[in-house]
Amino acid sequence: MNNNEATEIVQGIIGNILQAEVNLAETDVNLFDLGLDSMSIVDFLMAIEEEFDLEIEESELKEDVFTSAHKIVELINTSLSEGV
Amino acid sequence: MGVFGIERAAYFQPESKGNVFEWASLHGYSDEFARLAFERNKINEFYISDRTAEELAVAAVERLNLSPNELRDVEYLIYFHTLQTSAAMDGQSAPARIASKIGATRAKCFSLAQQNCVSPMAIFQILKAYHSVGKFNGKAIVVGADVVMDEGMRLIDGMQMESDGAAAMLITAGYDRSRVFDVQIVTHGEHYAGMDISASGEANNATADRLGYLLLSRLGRRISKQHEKRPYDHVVPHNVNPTGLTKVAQTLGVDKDNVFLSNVPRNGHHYGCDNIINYMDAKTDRVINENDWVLWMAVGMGRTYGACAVLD
Repeated sequence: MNNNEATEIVQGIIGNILQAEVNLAETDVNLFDLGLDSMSIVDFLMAIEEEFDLEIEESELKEDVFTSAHKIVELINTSLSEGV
Repeated sequence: MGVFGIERAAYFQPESKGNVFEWASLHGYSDEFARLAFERNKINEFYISDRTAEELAVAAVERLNLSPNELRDVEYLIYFHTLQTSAAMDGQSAPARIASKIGATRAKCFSLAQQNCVSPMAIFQILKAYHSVGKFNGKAIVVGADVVMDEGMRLIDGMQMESDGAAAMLITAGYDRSRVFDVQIVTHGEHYAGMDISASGEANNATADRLGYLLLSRLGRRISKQHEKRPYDHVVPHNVNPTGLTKVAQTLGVDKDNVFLSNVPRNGHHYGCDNIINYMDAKTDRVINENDWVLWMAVGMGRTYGACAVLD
């Protein structure tokens, strides 16, 4: 899966959670600024892990990861390649 | 399969109780602030001790009703606390003093403190590690206590109201009821911004709040996926931020009615003792029954997150 495909999936997940159309083409979009909050971020990550069939380590879950779609996709790719 | 179980548990609360609204008024909080804080915390009363934490800890262990022979056979006595004032004076050992007072003369003693409200779960992890290398095959007493030494220092704006008290457990290797199945803890340095309100001008770090629920939910989910693979029958949270922890429980598929909170108004927040006290109360009230799959959850100051599954 390339980065564009992954970004589209992430975009769809956020759109579903927020019930709104979102555009992650800008790679520095902060997901919290889009409207995700402390509880919806739980749903977001659950959906990511389900969709990509992976489990992200807690040590990887840092504030910085959620500051751009690019970083989320990077984390997904890293987790997939490590087979976590 | 859990390698040990909670054979007995007991707690001790002092005789004196305070009312949170009277306390707030005495300590300079506005009525509106107090009302909002207490609506969120669900706490109406709290316990006040004129005894030391060590004395309360001894009282809690005594309520385990162990015979002199049983006490002599205890392999470990592990003491936990949150407040610095709940430790012994410099050069002394609170766990050793407690062991001596109760007659656990052969117990190896140590304390664990700075996992704060998650300390009992951290102790479970230590016992699990000891068991795996053959260093824990018998009985351990885990006891915790905290006493606020200055009434004005009780926190009410951290979604809690601190309460004095103590709780104790007899943990027995191979005990097949109330088995401690798994414990997951994460202390995430990234999220610690301190709790010094006067220095930072803010009560909590937004980063910590934003990822806190996520971390807690994941710990609970990981245990469930690795073991019973079914939703928890009950969640026993500690008595801080009941609204937030109920939402976390719901992310694990637990109905809000199965989050045990009924004793929060009368107890306040007993730091690391909360999970033990609440677990006991839930069993006494027959909320938790045989074969129930129960999750303990707590968040410690300093951003320590803990989840622990107990199969009754």
